[in-house]
Amino acid sequence: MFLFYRASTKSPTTEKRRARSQVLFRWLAILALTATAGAQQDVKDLSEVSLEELSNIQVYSASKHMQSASEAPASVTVVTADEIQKYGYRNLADILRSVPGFYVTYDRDYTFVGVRGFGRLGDWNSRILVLIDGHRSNNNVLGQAMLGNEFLVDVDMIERVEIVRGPSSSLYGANAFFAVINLITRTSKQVKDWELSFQTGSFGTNEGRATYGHQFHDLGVLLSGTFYNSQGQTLFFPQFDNPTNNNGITSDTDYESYKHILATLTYHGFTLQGLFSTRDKGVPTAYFGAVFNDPSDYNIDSHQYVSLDYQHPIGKWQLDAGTSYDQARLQGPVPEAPTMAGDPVILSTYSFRGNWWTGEIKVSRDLFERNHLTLGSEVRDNLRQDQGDLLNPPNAFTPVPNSSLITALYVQDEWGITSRLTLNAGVRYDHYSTFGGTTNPRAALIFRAAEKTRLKLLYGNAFSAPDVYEISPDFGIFYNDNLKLQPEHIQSLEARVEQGLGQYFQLSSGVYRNRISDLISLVSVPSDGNFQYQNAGNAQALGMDVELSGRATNGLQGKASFDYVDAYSDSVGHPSLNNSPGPMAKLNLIVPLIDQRLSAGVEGQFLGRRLTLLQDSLSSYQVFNLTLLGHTVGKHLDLAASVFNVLDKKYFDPGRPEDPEDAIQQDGRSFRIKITGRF
Amino acid sequence: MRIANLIAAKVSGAPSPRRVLRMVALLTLLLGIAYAQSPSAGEYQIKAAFLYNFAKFVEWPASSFHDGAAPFQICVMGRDPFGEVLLDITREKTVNGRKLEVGTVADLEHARTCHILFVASSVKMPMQQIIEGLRGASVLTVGDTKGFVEQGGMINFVLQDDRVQFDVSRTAVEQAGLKISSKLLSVAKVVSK
Repeated sequence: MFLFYRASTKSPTTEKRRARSQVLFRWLAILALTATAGAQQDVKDLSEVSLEELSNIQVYSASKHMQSASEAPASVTVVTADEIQKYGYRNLADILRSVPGFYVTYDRDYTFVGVRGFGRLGDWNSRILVLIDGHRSNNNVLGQAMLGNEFLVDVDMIERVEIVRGPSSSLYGANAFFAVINLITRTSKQVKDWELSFQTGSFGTNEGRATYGHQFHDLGVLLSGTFYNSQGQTLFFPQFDNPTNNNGITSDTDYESYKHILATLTYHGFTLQGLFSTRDKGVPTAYFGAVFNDPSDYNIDSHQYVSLDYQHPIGKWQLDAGTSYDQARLQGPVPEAPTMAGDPVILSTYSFRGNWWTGEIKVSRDLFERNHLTLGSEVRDNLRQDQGDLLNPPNAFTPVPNSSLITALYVQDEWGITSRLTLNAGVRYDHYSTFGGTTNPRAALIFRAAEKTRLKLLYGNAFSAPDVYEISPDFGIFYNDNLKLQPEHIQSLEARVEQGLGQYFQLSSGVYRNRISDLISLVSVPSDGNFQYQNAGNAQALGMDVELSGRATNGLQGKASFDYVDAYSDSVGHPSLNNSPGPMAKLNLIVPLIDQRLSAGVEGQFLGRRLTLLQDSLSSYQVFNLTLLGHTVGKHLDLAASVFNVLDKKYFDPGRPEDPEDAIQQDGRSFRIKITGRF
Repeated sequence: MRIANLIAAKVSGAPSPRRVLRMVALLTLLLGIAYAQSPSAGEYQIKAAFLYNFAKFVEWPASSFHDGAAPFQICVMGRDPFGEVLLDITREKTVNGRKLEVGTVADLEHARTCHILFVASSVKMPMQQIIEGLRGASVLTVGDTKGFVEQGGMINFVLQDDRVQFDVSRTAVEQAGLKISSKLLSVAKVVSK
């Protein structure tokens, strides 16, 4: 509760905030009441359950993970392959839209995520860390995590996604700032030989996937390839509503295509994984000063990696070692609108190429009873972090060479002080060849107040390393380097209650405060009028969330959540941050219709008002999605039909600094049909 | 007029936090009503409950018990994946008036005295050897490994769509002098001859 009484000067906004925290108090009171009520209920004995019921109970395929979710030193959400299928999720961003505390913006090129009130316009998702089977997917030039159709893995190849809110730099280092998203892909064990899938949808969209999985004795083989193509929509941008710009109408510029290949081989403790991904997207918004309605404005993003992991017990130690090699590329030609009428259009291309090698080793063991120790080290050698010169002729990549080295050491200990009280503490030291060292601790106290009640007190620090494009921007002559740029820091404090209510429900609620310092911001340098990235500004967020989830044996399951965050800058008057919705509410429901053969997945998302870069207020919105999924006996054939934005709600996301639009309209109602066969 | 102004003009009072709270409360209530029975559970909690049910829905010859008071024995071979859950589920339970006993066995000699033998996936002993060792004894073998039934085991657990299912080999069960109820067979995923 002390979180809400910070000393501050009296201003109208402070009063408003105090009023808001009253609402939070009331919620906490209700929560405390339900928690005590729920704690008294007893578990129904599974031995009383009928045979039919038993065979219908859904196992948390991640039973140990769900368990660890309640023991985890953080607030965790898990999304399973089953939910991905039943809600008709199309990409990772769709999954994140359903996650408490997360909201998504789309600029018709990339998809960006905001977490707990922070969704900086201009950020490249570098304040979240996305791991694929533990492998870091953020690239090494923009620090960018791909989330939408640009994401590296077909959503159908995901077995489970674990979303951990809060800073986790004490384990993962950079980018683990607001959240870590770890997705676990399917292996040969979860794919029965051949799986073929085809989907077709609105806006001339088609996608095909072929997957083969087989277990040859000890050798597990999984191979999967996906191809996607979409013609895109004809769009209207009022900004360009004049005769020279086709009256603001643009067609053939919203196209998109991607290809993914994923290969995973497992043999005893070894896992060898290879991934190839490339995406081509037209840019209809004419950002970075491009000519409007020109199909030659596009981006090609590609990312490939090979990784080898080894897990093995050595005496009392569990060893986990891995090495990987990544390469990421971007090529983005921009047909620059001439400043003088009659001048020719110049095609300038921003490109980067990143190559990096990673080596990691982690050992853990039980030190003594109820004490588990983990020690680890990571080396990341950024062999290339080159950006291409804008002023060069199209597609001629003249790199500005760059490289850096990161070394890290970490330790974490989980200690059951008593049978009810667990302390989870860790610290990680990262050394960057660019800015030096940073140390980030985390500590969590977890108290098992009753069989189904967990009280958690969480504290953590994290950092976001300055990315190459911020240290030495290569966007043209009007940008200055800043070799002294330091990392951003976040300090987070959170209190949570996790309560099982009877056998069917789980209630989770928390309050938190995030403080961010040394925000890396683009500022104008007074001496020469150029732009430069500098550590300027601090920000804070106070928030709460409450989530109720439940599932029944007959397949009925769902969750409902509400979030409220007040995020503001620490500058004079505490102005609210832009792209920060105060309230958010989410509803997810899977209803079995005919036995286990037909199910309906319903989603509802509400997002509060958000400010744009020009300080205009974007209307709040609700969007509903519906998916019907049916399958034959034995699941040889699945048929799914989805309607996205069922009510055809017209809504907008805020534009980014590079966009000429201050608000960008999002998709209306759209459809998709998908058929999957297994042989 | 800039697009942003147009949008701002259109905003006709976004829902207040209070209204959203009410919405969430309503949804919560609806969810509460919608929910029927039973939650999800840990994989081995369910498997343990199944073992208890196998004891109920399979008939053992009287000769497999020393006397009328002899307990019904459920044994685990290999690394025990159940932990406390098997003990919890069988505690103070009876089957046909017999108390349930749970224990681990290390060798086949002892396994012959069991009624249900759960062969954990950690067991490296070839299936053929297990079958040989149990020949003539009325032991229901329950596996947790792919191919268990194909190699001569009686019942095998499989995970399908996050649910615990089981396959049954009717021949193997009957050869051991056990009778399996049709109710159990009707729930089985695959029943092989």
